[in-house]
Amino acid sequence: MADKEPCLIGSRITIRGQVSGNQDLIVEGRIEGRVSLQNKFTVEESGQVEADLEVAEAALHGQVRGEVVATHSAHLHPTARVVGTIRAPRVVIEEGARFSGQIDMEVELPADVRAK
Amino acid sequence: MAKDKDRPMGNTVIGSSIVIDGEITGEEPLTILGTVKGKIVVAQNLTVEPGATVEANVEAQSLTVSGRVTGNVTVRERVELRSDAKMVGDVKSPRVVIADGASFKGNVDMDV
Amino acid sequence: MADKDVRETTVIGAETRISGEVRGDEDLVVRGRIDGRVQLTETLTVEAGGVVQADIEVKNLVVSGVVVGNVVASASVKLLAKARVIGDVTAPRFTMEEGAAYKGRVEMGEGEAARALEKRASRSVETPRQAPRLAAPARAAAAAPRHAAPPRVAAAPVARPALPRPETAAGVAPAWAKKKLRRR
Repeated sequence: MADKEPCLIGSRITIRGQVSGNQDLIVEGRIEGRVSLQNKFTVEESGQVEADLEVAEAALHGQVRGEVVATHSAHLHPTARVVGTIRAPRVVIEEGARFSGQIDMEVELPADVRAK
Repeated sequence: MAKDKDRPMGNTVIGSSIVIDGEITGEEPLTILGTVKGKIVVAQNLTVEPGATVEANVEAQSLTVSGRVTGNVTVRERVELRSDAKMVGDVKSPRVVIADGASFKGNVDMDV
Repeated sequence: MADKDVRETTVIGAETRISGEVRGDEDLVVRGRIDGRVQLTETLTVEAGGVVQADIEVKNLVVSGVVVGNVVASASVKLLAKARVIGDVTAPRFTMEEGAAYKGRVEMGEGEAARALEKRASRSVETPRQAPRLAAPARAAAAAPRHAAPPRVAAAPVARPALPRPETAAGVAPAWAKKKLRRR
């Protein structure tokens, strides 16, 4: 997936609907709807995404509202503003990032500790 | 008050502002500077520092009291009430030392 | 003796277990285990190997071990690489390192923790295990009409006061979450 140039949604582009593919995607503009990618999905600081995401890797620097499902990882960078649900095996939230919603990861507990 | 270096390392220390309501169980030395109400069962030495308040039944290897203890105490080796100790309760221990100045009300059973 | 008054640290050693309620005005480090409830005005650190199965109210929470329970922090929650955490978190600042595992609902916002604490205080002696989920604000935010907030460019994160100020506790959701995504 690194052999292709990433696709760039420029800052003055708005897409409404379904976006799918197998190429890295960088959003500086706006997407409303749904995104499914087998690759890395980057929302730049200027980017605004109101969509459910199904991606391999989510690198979020901008605004996202929706359900984020990442098969590899979700990374909220310091400028990220995210509202919704995050499901991923690896989640990183950096200092400065704002998040409101649910995070759903596998949590292995010791045998003598039970989730309520 | 014990300085940090006097405290055994790697053990449990309950600081002076801490209040525990419940049960403490442990396999390591326990030092109390705060307040514990409930029950204490430790396999090692329990130290109740000056200013500390223990309202609990206690089971320990040994017990050193400089603070205030209210409750019944069962100890396998030795109980020492230091000069500023205030203790109300029954003590069961093979050896008991009560320093001059300590106040104590209760029964002592040294299993004679 | 002199430095004793500055700050003490309470340590629950690896071989010690507490069942019940722990309250205090100093830092607390857990290498052993606490089951019940923890209420601290300072920092709770759950080290690797430490287990806290409790509802937690603190200023700061730093986790490398295991926490199961709902957390309200007036300043920050940090999940470090080995953390295993299940429960809802309300805190103005929440960070997760690579390797941390977490399941629960997160509310970040200036007044969130203060409001959550007020709610808890008013419920007083309810059993901690039945503490309701703190999810309502986010749902309210999601349901907020889109035209409610004026379009604004996202403000850069700036250093915020360590404790939430009461005057920021006006709305039902953090202001940033209510902010409408800018339309062109």
